[in-house]
Amino acid sequence: MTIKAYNMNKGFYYLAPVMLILALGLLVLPGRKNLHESRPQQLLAEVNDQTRFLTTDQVARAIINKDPYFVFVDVRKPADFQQFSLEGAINIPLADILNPGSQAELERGDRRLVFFCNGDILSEQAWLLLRRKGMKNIFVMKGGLNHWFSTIINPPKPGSTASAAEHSQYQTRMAASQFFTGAGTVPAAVSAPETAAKKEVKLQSVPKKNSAEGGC
Amino acid sequence: MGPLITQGIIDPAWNNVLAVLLGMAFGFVLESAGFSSSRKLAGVFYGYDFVVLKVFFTAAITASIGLLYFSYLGWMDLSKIFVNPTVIQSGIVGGLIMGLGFIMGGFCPGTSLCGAAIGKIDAMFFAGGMFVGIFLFAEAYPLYENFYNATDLGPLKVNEVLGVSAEVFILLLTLVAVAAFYVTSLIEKRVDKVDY
Repeated sequence: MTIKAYNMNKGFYYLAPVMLILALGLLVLPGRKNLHESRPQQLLAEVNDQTRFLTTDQVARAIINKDPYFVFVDVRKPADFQQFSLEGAINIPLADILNPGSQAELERGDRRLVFFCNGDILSEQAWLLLRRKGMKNIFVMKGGLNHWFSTIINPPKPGSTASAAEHSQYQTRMAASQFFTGAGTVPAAVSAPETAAKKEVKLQSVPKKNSAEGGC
Repeated sequence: MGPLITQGIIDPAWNNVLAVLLGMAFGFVLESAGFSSSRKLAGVFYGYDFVVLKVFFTAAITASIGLLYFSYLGWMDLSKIFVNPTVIQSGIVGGLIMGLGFIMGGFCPGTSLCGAAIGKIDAMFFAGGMFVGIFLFAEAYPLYENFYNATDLGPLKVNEVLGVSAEVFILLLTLVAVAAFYVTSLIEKRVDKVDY
């Protein structure tokens, strides 16, 4: 056993300089920012993939059911957000979406982020920027708020030749419309309903999952 | 890239399977380093054997240098790794209790299981005592819950507290380690060899 211990000490004579050189190497390495980006080909395939879109019906259902896993992110300017937004939505303007503060907010907890704007343009850009950074579980509300008004708030009445499924969807949308605009009043004009006016919704913080702790 | 499970590269369902495999590897290395002997472990306290210090210092330096190189090469996302929170009060009291138990029993929790696995009776008693201690700690937890959780400073990093970069801190740590290896080898030469 004493011989083994002797060898072990010998080993450290070689190990110590190696460690020192490696540690010094870290110091002289030029600074480099590690950008976490998706590969271009992969990103292109994902852009063509339609699964990032949620329909307004899916969004309405998630809001009505108060699904805690969905966070709706309004990427328009704060003035637009103040005027009208989806119930419980948070506002992170597209220009700020890559700021460290916004990043922390977006990456908090295990949630699905759904971006929306008036149409698709800003929300698609937000999706692309964050997907390029490697973020997962991010979606876009197809058609944005304009589509929201024309399908959920003011659903078009299906014609007499429409299928049963379309009628059923119309009934669901009418119910959702009443939920969002207040029972009994179905607004005729596409305008911001006052009952659905903004209230500041504090997001519940979902604790980050930690990996197992270690020890000796 | 990054830690494989938190990044979703490996499914979290593999967590326990990987833990068992890594635990077996860890135990094997501890045993190979002679850490299943309480005399060897206590040697660092009495000053006749510093293998424990060398092994753990080497492990810390290897891991930290390796992590920084991995991060530099973009293989590892350092923001995703778990950093143990610093809790001052329970850190100090827990450290004293752990140290006392360590020198009384001659094992730390991991090495006691190593010793038990190769049939050392003292290690089996130690491991048994450990579980009794865990049980008592959990049962009495409400008594000192406030004390236990007070002064939680969150996941601190030494280099951030000192205000130096991680690279500078690791170089300093390496220098300290090399000096410690040298000094302890001098001490080991002077004291009588202990056979075990």
